[in-house]
Amino acid sequence: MTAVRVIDLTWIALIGLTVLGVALGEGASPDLAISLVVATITAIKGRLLIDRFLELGGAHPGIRRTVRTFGLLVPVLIVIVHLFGDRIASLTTL
Amino acid sequence: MWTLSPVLSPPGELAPEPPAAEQIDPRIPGNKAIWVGIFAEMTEFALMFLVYFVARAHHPETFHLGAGRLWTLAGVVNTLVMLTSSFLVARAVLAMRADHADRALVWLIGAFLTGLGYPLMKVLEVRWNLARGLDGRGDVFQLAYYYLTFNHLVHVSWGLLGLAWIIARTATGGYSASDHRGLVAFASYWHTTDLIWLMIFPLFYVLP
Repeated sequence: MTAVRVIDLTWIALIGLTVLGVALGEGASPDLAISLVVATITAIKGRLLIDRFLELGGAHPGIRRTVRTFGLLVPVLIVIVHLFGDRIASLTTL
Repeated sequence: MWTLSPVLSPPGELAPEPPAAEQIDPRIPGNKAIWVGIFAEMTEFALMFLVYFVARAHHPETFHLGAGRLWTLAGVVNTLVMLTSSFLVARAVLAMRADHADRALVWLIGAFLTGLGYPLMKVLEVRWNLARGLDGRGDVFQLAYYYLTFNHLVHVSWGLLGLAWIIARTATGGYSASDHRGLVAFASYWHTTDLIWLMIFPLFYVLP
C-alpha cells in the first residue's frame, strides 16, 4: 500500500470513528460500558494519528514513547475516574 | 591568516578544522526545537486533563448534565476540521517528499483554509453558548470547558500563523525533497495540536 493510500484511509477511519463515538455517546447514561467504548475509540484515534500522520514509527524512542503515552492518558483516566471516582474525590478533598 | 593560533598551528600548517556542524538526528521529525515546544504543550494539557478528571470525580452529576447543554454539532464540526486540516498537511509532506513542491503548496493552502474553520466555528459556538447562559461563570463544568477549549484555541491560532509562514516558504522555494525539515517540524506541531483536540472532544461533547 502506498504512503498516500495509507494517509487517505487513516483520514477516513478517523472521521468514521468520530461519527461512531458521537452516535454511541448521544443520550447515553454514564455507565461503565459507554465509558469503555468512548475510551477505546479515543485511544484508537490517537494511536492512528500518532503512527500515520505524525509518522513516529521510526522516530527517536523518547519522542515515540512520550507521545504514545500522552495519547493514552485521557482514555485511561476516563476508565479510572469512572471506576474509582469516589475514591479519587476523597483523596483530593482538602 | 592562519597565524592566529601559533601554538596549535605552526607556521606553514593549516589550522585544525572547526568542529563539524551539529549532526542532524534523522530520528527526530523536523528539529529538536519544535519538540521542546511540543513537549511543553503536552505537559500543559496533561496537567489540565488531570484537573478536569479530579473535578469530574468530585462533581459527576454536573459533568453528566453539562455535556448535554453544549452544542454537540459544533464539537463534531471542529473535530472534522482539525482532522481534515491535519490530513492535508500530511499530504503536503508526502508531496514534498516526492519532489512536488507545487502540489505541496496546494495541500498547504487547503490545510490553512480548512483550519480557519476552527476559530470561525468557535465564534459561532460561543455565541450559541452565551445565548443559553453558558458564559463560564456557572458551574465547574463550564469553567473546565472554557479553560481547556480556549487554551486549545490559542494553540490552533499559533498553528495557523505558523502554517501561513510555511506556505510562504513553500511558495518561495524554501523547501525541497532533500531538505524540508521546517515543513516536517510544523506538521509535527499541527498533528499534536490535532491529537490534543481528539482528547478534549470526548470529555465535553461525548462522554455522558
